[in-house]
Amino acid sequence: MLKTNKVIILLLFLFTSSATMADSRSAVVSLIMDAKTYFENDQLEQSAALLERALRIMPHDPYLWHNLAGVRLTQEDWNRAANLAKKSNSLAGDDSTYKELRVRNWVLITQACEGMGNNKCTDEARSRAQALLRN
Amino acid sequence: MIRTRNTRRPIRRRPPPQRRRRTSYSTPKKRPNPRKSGFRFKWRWLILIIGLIILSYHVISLDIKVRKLFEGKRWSLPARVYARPLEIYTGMSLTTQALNEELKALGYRKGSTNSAGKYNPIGNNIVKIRTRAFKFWEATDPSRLVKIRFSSNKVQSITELEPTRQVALLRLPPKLIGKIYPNHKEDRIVVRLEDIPQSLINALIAMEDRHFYNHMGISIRGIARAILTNIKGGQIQGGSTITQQLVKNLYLSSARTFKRKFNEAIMALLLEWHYSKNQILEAYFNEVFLGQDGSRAIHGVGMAARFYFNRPLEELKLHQVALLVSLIRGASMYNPRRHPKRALARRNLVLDTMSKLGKISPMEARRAKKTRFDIEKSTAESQFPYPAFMGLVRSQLRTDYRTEDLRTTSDTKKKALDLSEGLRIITTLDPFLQKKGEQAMRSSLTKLSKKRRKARKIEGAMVVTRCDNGEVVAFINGRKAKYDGFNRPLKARRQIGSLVKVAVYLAALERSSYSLTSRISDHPYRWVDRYTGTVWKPQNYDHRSHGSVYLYKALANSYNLATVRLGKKLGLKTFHETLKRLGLTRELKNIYPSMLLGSLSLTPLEVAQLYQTIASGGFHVPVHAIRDVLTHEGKPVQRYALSMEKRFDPTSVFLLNFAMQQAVRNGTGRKISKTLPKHMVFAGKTGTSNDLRDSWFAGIGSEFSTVTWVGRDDNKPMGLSGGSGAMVVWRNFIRSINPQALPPRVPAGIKWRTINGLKIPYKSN
Repeated sequence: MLKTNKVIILLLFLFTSSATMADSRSAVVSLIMDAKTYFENDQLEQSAALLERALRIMPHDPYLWHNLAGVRLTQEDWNRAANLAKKSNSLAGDDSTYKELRVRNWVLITQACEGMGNNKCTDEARSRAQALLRN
Repeated sequence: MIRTRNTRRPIRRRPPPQRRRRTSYSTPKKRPNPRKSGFRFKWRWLILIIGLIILSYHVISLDIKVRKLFEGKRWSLPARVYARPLEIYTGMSLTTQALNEELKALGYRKGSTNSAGKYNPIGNNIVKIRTRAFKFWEATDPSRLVKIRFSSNKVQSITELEPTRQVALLRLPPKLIGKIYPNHKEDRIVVRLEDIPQSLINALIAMEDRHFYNHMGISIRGIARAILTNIKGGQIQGGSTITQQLVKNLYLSSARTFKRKFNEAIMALLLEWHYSKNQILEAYFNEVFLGQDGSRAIHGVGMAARFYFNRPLEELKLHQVALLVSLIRGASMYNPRRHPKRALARRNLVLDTMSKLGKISPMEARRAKKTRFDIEKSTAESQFPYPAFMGLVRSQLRTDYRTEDLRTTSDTKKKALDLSEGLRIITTLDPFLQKKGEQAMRSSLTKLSKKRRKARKIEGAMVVTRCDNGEVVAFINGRKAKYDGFNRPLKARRQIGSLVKVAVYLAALERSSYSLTSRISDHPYRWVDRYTGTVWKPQNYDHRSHGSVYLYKALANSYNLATVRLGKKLGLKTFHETLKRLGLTRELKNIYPSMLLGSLSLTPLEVAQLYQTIASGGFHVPVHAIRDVLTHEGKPVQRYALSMEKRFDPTSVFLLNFAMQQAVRNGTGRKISKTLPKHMVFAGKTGTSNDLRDSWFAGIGSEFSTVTWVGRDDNKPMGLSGGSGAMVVWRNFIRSINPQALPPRVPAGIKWRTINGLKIPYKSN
């Protein structure tokens, strides 16, 4: 479980970095890179704290919310992880540039629901992810 | 004869016991009985042994006490409460003036940036700062020399010098905004011996204990001199060494009894036996009492340097050092603020003594004696400017912990929090926004109170939170924000009027049968209490009914009849559930139809929690004032990590937000919103209670959610509605901070249609 989650998050850290670089918000990028280092060293709470700092600068960036959800998922803080991913999705909206992110969020929610042992929530999240992939 | 006989007879028959004894002992006198001499010998030694055992026990128990207290917690340190640290980043909206204000508030001094805690504005667009280091829980930010360049009120670049490199982000240390004292209101800053100036050590030893480095804890010479003086009837002398003084301060009372003096001597010997002179000296410098500020006791030279001179200990000059030492004999008697002449004489005596002992040259002494006190007129860190916010911090601690002096509950499930260990509490307060909020509240209330006679005594409260994480950035209490009086934003429970209506409309918009353009009835309404027969006939604000109206217009114009009819249709239970999902935690015993129009009393903080859920797009985020609680050393005790729960579908909240935007621009808030820049998009709701007793406004932008209340403390009518009272305060605040106010992000599942030239959103599925 831990390994799978890490792969997901690392990919997105890079993805987010390039996205925010273009936005010239280098402060957020530097915080994400530091958060990534902490994450790779298994200092998860430190990583989360840096992402929260980044969110104070860019509270409407859905990638940041997703990454924070990923850190919480790795900590097996299932409920918090699922809600943060939902927040990420609500900010991503219908924008096609965020389609991949939304899929990832639903995958993350699926994993969190599995963690909680909630079958109904797992099935629903999985079907939302699959529906998005089909479109 | 008879008499003689009679008297003799009994003597012979019954000899006196002594005589008999003497007779029986007469033999051993000649030949010593080993049993008898052994018996006497044993008693004497037994008493001695018992005495020794008791003494040893006493000494051992004193030894345990000395070591336990000396090695464990020695100093009671108040919890230090900090504002949020300012994060400066490229592209950030920040003026040089705001940065200079922040630095000044942090105690940074203007001038050459050769040492930490100094800044230097160069022209209008560049500020050079040498920051102070600060230990946050996740990282220690070192001292840095940086150059910040501004362009059009934005941070253009941040350059670190030594070595030169561009940095994207700079975090300034947070401002100390308050202290929470344990039971004994002792204030101190713990210092290490290596940070104490040598001149201070010299002065202390010269005045208090010249043989400190040579004795073993007690000075026989000193005691003998004290006894002699006391016998001669002179002034009572203590004859205490520095070690004895420390023992007295740390462990004993100040009673002048023999027992206390005896214990003091034993404990001083024990202290010297276990610990080095340097350890004892360091403890002394941190424990010594050096002043009183109301109920706050100033302990230790670190805090005294701040209290009298408002600077760190290491920056003190000779004359200031001498003044601190002169206070040891009587902080009250030689108080330089109250008794300057007496204090000056004592300080000069310290300087003369130091010179006599060769610790300073006569020239240095003369020069220092010529110098005035240099003390700060006002006592530093005596009163902090945010009493209402500090009340909120205490309230949050009380909710989450059992604490020593905040204990009001016997809930043993809560974790204990010892407030005497110098905890560091990092809060969410933004001093810049707080200042702007206080200014807006003061000036607006002054103007509003002149409008109507009834409004002369109006007061106000405002709670400003970050939309997405629930952090309280400003917490304003009345016109006199610095006055520690009734905490209105935290405690004033007032009828919330139409602010409650959002719960009715949100409950409707959650249902697929309702949209913003659904037609709802605003016809007259009448309700009869089936038990009491009481008839309730609500009215619209303009005393007219408007027939069939669009749902969004009913909210924007705050129609009472339409709201009651809608609420009754949805059910009072649904309304109550919606309120709870929005974040209402207060128990409501009964739900009446009049509650649909706001006949329920809540505090501004509770209302802020309800609107927070709308501001964050349907996610319930706890409104909170604390980010982290750290130990004295900076290790985390508790983090208030970002936490949220999806309570409403974002599309329903988006539709509600649209209706609230209409309320600001075209509804009950249109008059005031005309004076705001057109590009700013705000959602809001006005609220007015019966007879114009309470005026409310809740405003949501893309950055901040704000709840404002205006009213009289005696709950009498004051003649202002939500739109003409609280909204004016809010508008003035918004104009002064110029925040981001973008339209909310459109969630998936929203489409638009145009009706009467207005683009209105609706749910696509």
